[in-house]
Amino acid sequence: MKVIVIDDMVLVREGVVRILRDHGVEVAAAAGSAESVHALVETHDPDVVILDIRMPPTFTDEGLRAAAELRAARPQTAVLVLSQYLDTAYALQLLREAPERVGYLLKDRIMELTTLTDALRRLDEGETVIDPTIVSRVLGRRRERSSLASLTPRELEVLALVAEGLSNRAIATRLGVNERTVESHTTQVFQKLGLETSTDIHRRVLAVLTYLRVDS
Amino acid sequence: VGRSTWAAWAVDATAAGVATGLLMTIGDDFFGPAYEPETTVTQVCTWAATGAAVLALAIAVVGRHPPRATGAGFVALALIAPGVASVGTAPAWLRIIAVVAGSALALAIARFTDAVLGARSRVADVALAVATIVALTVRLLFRDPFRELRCAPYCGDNPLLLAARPQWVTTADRVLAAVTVCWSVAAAVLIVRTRPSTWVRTTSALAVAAAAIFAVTWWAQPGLTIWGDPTQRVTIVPPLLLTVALLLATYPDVQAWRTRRQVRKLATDLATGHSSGGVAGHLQQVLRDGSVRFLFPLATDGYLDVAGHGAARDPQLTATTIERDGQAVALVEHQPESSGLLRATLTPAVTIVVENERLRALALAELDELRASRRRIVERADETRRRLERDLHDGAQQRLLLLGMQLARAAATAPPSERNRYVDAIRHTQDALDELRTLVHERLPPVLHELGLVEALRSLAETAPIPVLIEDDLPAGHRPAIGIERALYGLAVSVIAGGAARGASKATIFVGERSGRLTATVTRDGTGPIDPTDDEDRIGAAGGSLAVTIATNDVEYVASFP
Repeated sequence: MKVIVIDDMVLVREGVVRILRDHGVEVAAAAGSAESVHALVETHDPDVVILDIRMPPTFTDEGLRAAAELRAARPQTAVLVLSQYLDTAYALQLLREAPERVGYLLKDRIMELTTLTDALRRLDEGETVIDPTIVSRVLGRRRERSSLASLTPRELEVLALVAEGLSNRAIATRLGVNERTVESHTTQVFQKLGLETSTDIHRRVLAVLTYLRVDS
Repeated sequence: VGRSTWAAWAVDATAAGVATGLLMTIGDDFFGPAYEPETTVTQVCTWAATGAAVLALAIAVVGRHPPRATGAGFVALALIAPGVASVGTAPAWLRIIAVVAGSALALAIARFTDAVLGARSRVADVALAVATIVALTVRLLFRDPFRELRCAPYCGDNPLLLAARPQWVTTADRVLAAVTVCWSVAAAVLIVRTRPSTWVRTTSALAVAAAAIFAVTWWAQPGLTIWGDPTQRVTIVPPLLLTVALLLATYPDVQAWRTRRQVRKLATDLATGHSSGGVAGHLQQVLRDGSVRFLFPLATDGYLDVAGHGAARDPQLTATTIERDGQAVALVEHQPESSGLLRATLTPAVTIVVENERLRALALAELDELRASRRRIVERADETRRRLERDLHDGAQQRLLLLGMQLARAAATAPPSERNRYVDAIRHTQDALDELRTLVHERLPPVLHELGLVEALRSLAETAPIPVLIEDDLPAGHRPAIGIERALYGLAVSVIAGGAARGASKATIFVGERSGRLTATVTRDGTGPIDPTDDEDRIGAAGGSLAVTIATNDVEYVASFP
């Protein structure tokens, strides 16, 4: 797998590059600003681009914008945004603006060596990646009348994994059940929440996160 | 020759004429003793009147005709009225009404002059002179002491009998009439040229009275018709001239009356707080001058307008200074034509209100400055906080991340016995990162700055200890000013945290437009208020206001911004 790392903080960028190389990921290039992304991508044709969300010139959400542009321009290249923001709002914005094969991970995850490489692998396989902390935030939100009360513990588990962007097959592997069972669970969950069932991973992540964030 | 000198001459001449005329009536009796013996009342009245008239003339000439002196002449005319009314050919009741009306009018004007206009001698002179003319006319119409006494009651039909008058009397009458005509022309010119509302009011009333008296006497005495006598015909001219001139002057008088009424209403409105446009708005209406504007002089050079903003003089407009106790209170800018009326409207009551407006403008200016400085303080604090966050992100956060990363790599290669220690260290690093993030983002999360209030509130709701329902009807793509967003976000954080600490079970947040104002309502259940001072200050600094309502089961915070 070939990746490009874009982060304006040199030390962190070098750290990420080293971890990835330790795990056998080929880092084709590393750069410090979002402006150089397009040239690098054209030159190296990576499978995944890792972007820091916060970069010059405004130090706000350049990463999100670069991700959206990149995804629109190159459907074959996945994008993983590393963010120091725990806000679901950013993850949702990324999902809305960048179609498919995008990931939103907390930057803290670089301390967990396998999480980062797992995410890259999943993106490469066409899944969507949403940081579990964000999923547990929206799932754990206090609700006046919980619409989630009607779900069984197993269905809740499935819902969380769906929100994290796992495919049915990945969920099945994670839970140690067969894919059929997962399919029936997801159908049940979507029915109970009044959401439209979709096989498109990206679309169902967006639907679930939006629902969990806004419902009362 | 100034106007007041003109009027003074007119008064002198008229007073002299009246006196002469009255002197000629000493011991006079229209029908003679054979028909109607002179009564004691008639004699007393006549002598008293004559004495007073002489006195008036003396004072008028020697004492530079102060109003009181001329007024005395009219007292005399009032006294003569019963004497005049006791003789004549018209029905007695009619003559009594006519003469008493004329005399009472003269008396009233004398009193009015003394009491109200004493300080303004020109006005007084003119008013009194007009009254004199009325009295004189009355005398000429009712009595002619040199008429052939024994011809009555048929002498009116026989002009030959009139020839019995001595020549000097006829000459004196003609001179008197000529003086009266001259005076009347002068008075008429004065009235038409200068239209000050105060005396026009007086003289207009007089003109109507003069015309009425003249009409009544003319109608009532066909036997003594003045039309047949060329001398007396001339005497019709003055009252006619006066009547026309004064009626011409009535329009500005009515306007002035309305102005005064409006000014009085203005004073009342301002006193009872009903004024909407302020004094300037009222003056614009009263003067029909849209350019009227108040400027309040500052201790340093420059002016404030009524709203407390700095202002400059408009060189195109005239400026009138309003003073109180010798100090310039305000400058009124207006069109040059408004000067006269403006001076009339600037009564002491209005001056006090203007002074109030000045104090208000000063207070507003100070308030503006304080608001601006409060806003700057809050903005500076927020900017400092954002800079701190950026510094932490670039510094401490990166280093902690790097530390965690290195610990993780070390843990991966460490022997199993050592690994737990690394895992602990990694956890501490993670905790430090979390704490740092909370510290920096709690009050000013980046999502507020970048994605707006509603997104930030939704994120707040995700971690809130109680359920938070968020409703908004902000137009899509519309974001309030960042200062307002920060203040409202801070309020929501305080209310939710405070509510949770006091056992609230839920909170509701509404953000949207209500009655033209951007309004945020944060409601939580439970009892007891939290202390919103800090948020109130922030809301105030952003230009809004906060109202807290405590009901039985919930507490509502309403912040609104223009």
